[in-house]
Amino acid sequence: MKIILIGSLLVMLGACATQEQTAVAQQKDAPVPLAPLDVIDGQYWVDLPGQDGLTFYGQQLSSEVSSNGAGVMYPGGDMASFLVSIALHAAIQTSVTEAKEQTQRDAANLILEPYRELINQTSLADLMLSSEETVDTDNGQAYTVGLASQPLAADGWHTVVDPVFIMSRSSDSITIKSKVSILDGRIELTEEDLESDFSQTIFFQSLPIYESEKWLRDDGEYFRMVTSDLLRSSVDLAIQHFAGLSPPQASISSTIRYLNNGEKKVERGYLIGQTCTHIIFESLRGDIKSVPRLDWAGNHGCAAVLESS
Amino acid sequence: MFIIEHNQGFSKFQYAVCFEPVFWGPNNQCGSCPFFRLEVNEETLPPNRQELFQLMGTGLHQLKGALQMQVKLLGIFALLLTLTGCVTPPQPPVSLNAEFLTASDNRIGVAMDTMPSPNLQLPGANCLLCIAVASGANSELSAHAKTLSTEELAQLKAEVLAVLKEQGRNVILVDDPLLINKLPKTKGLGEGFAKRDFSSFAEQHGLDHLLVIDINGIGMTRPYTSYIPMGAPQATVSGTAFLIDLQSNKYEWYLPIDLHLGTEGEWDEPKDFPGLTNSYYQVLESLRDRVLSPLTIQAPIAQITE
Repeated sequence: MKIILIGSLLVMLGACATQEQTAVAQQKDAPVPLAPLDVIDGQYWVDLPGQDGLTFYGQQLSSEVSSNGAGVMYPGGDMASFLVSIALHAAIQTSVTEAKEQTQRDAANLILEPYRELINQTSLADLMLSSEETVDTDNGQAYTVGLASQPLAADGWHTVVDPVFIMSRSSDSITIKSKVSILDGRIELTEEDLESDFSQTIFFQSLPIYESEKWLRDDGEYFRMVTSDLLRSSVDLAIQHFAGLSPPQASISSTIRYLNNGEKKVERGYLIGQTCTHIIFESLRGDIKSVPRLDWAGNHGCAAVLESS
Repeated sequence: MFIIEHNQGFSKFQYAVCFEPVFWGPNNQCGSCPFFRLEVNEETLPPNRQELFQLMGTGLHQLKGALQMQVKLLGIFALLLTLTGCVTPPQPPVSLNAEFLTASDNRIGVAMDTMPSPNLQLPGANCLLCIAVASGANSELSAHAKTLSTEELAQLKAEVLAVLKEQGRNVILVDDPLLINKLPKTKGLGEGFAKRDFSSFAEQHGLDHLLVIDINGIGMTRPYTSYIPMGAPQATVSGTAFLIDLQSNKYEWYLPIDLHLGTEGEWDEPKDFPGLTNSYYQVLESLRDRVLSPLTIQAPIAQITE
């Protein structure tokens, strides 16, 4: 009897001890809240995953305002033939549209032929400064940007950049379309985090040039300078938007007129700011765009600024 | 009066029924009768007179039906003639008269007719049920179209005024609503002249010319065939811009406007439809350019000739 009592006592004590251990383990697994990273005066590590060379496309022409509406007349002798003709038209139209889009892409990419070698020689990482750089903003704030090393440093913001470059149809300018995601570098990331955290698509268009040969001169020095500037500018724009360093955007949308492919282009958006050369706005789809002002070339104050810089 | 003829002058017998004398053919025969001809040959010739008259009776019955059909066709033809006679051919575009820009002493008014509110039009959804189905399927887009701003267009009148003033024109804004459809009609002036009489503005405002921007449709459109959409919606604006000589009601400039633009990429992005909204403002900008550019581009030419 004594043995049974001692045995059951030991079992109870053992069970209690196990419970205590479980509680301790739970405390160890609970996330410890980290002190928030500084967004202003913060450190931003630019990561360019999965890209060595430049992804470059030719600009596709957008549809123009037409003076007649679209519409299709179907034979409608009876309902069956009517529905068959619609289905047939839909099937044909899908393949025609796909073929047309591919033709348009191919035609657009023809503009890249003279620059193909130059593009292939340029590395994306070369376009970012390897050393850290402190950026001072117009409102007196600053932050530091550097190219991320492997393994990633865990003392700042992990800034993932996925850029695509687009050469204008007249070869007068290059636009970067960068998807920039900014995440806390101290937290190990998953694909889901990349989707759920700050992510912003930035369009930045270079000022137009009047001789397309300029891209190739001096072994492509100007080309590399512009593409590098576009990459860094798009990252800066994203960081400033993320850190709240951008001027507040207009609450009401307005019609923005800017220079694109040598012509006036019109887009509706929320004005964020203007420099002497560029207009910055948020498009109705939520992208941030920095585009050349229509009057940048005739802006004499602007010319003085450009000369001094 | 009907004439029944038995003609044996040919290789076969012909019994013909005609109007007399209108369709009476040459040689006193029914050769040109266009309505009805009962023909029998030697094999089918009835053996006796009774059967022949029965056959002719059948022929007359058929003739009655044929005549009724002809009368109906004539009626439809006459109706079509009447209707097409009533339709006025559209006024073709008239280029801006260069003399207008060189005549600096002209007093010009700039006016805008009452503008409709933006909406979604579903052309082709004609039956009641079709309209209900199409409206239901596009209810979000329709609601969004009604929220679009027309401020850009409202400013166009002032922009036209500014452009003309820059060229040293004697120009004023006419703020009164024009109500073009309530102006008296002009008669017999023909192509190149307004169908309404604008001359009252000459006395009211002391004007020589009136530049009018008349918008009669604005918003989105999506073509339908009964219940079925025939394509993606497009932004649209339609109307006219014209300059009119108030003494003669002659068009010195006439610009028909019917502009459409689809979206870049996806269009079905409720509830703000950013792609279509962007297209809407692009269409308005295109209208603005089309109205302002003839007035702007020709200005230096006018300055040189002066």
